Amino acid sequence: MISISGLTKAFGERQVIKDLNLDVESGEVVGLVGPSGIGKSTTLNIVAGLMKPDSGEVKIDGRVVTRSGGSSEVMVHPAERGLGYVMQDNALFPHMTVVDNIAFGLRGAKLAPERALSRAQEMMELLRIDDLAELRPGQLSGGQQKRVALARSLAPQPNILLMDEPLSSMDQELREHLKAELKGIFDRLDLTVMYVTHDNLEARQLVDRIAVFGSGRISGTFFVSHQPPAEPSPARLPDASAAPD
Amino acid sequence: MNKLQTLLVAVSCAAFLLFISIPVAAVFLYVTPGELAATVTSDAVLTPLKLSLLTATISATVVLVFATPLSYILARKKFSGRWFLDTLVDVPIVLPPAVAGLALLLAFAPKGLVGQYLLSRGIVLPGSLVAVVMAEIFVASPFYFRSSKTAFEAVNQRIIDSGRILTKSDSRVFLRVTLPLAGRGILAGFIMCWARSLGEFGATLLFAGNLPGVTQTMPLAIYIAMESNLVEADVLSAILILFSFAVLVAFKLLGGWNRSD
Repeated sequence: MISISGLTKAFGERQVIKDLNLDVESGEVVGLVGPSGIGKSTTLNIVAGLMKPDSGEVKIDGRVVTRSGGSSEVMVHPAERGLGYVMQDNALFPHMTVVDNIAFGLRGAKLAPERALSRAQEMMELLRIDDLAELRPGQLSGGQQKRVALARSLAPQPNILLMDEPLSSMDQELREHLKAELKGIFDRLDLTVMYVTHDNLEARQLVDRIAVFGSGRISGTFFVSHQPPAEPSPARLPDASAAPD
Repeated sequence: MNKLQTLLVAVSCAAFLLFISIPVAAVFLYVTPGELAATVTSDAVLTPLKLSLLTATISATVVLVFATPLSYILARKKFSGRWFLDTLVDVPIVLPPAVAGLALLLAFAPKGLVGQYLLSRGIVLPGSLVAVVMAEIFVASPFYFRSSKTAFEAVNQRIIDSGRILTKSDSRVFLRVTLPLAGRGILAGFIMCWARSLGEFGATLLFAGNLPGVTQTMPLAIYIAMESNLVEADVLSAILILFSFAVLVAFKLLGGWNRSD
């Protein structure tokens, strides 16, 4: 479970996050939805331990991993939070092959080389990229790179997955394809997921609950029913009256 | 661009290129092939050549090992006084070499700031190979700093972050991710530092002295040979030009100054 309370963050004069509070239950997929540039990615970075908030607290499974603004500051190393993070630009290691990218976190965890390799192989099979093992990121398409980033994040078997606009800058066909794959992976691995997107429709198709991000805080959350829509509709944020929990 | 403008541009380009290439050509045209063959294998050429290659390689390697951490910190860490340190490491690049030599003497000569303590332990630096290396490091290290710092700055922070998510060993992220990604710039800086060390003259002359076989590097040997044997000086100069050209070609192939990744 992820518990965020009283989070604030400013960049210079610009207050990006103002008193953000959110709980994500274990095994729940929560979408942080809102327009670009309002602090969704900053929130993920703070949860990941890559950025320090000005104040507030983040707990993972009851353990304080970030605390700022008070007398007892806490900042647990990103690798000790038990999470994976798929960044918007994938941030793959361009000088390593696909298999080395995926095995990086496993080797860092002092796993025996054979075990690391076999785990990386499992991940490549899961994401159907095993034929790309010896290629470098620069030789891959956008969709393949996203799969590698996902495989790399999942390889150390995290309980939590953070995803920042994973389907942005992809064509519609690829987006639909990856959505189905992501949904399958979320269900199969029973992951707790924080999924950032500006696309409301994408969120409705993938997440259990949507947290609407606005003015630096969560303005409301609502559960998503995964019934197929009667007719396709353009992405639109829910009305303020949409059943907040 | 009209014809007159085109002509003016062509003339200015040609004038500049000739100004650079005529002296270079003069060095290669001064000696006959026979004189070149006879001189290039003489002790007068080989001894300073070996010494220059040795000291330049040691100097660039020492800079690589000791300057890389500072270069990384200046590139990627934010702290008060960073601009001052950043400027300080650049100072030798604008100092006249004679000033650099004098500064080294005042610091490390037997009566110098540090040298007096070294003397009490029986260590005298001027006149030694170590002094040559120190002079070269002092003068050439900014070339390494510039290139390696730019290379570290160019490494995408998101890639480093994704490494930090995957391993708690920051040194592993540095060695396996940051360093390889900055590798071209680091190597380019090493090459430029090596080349500048090879050509170092003023600081070496003042601090290390001009002892044949001990501190007399190629530029010093050229200076001395100018008085007695111009063919020898010319052959040494031709070798230095060839090395410099090769180094610049390597530097450009690595993308130095144009590309920092």
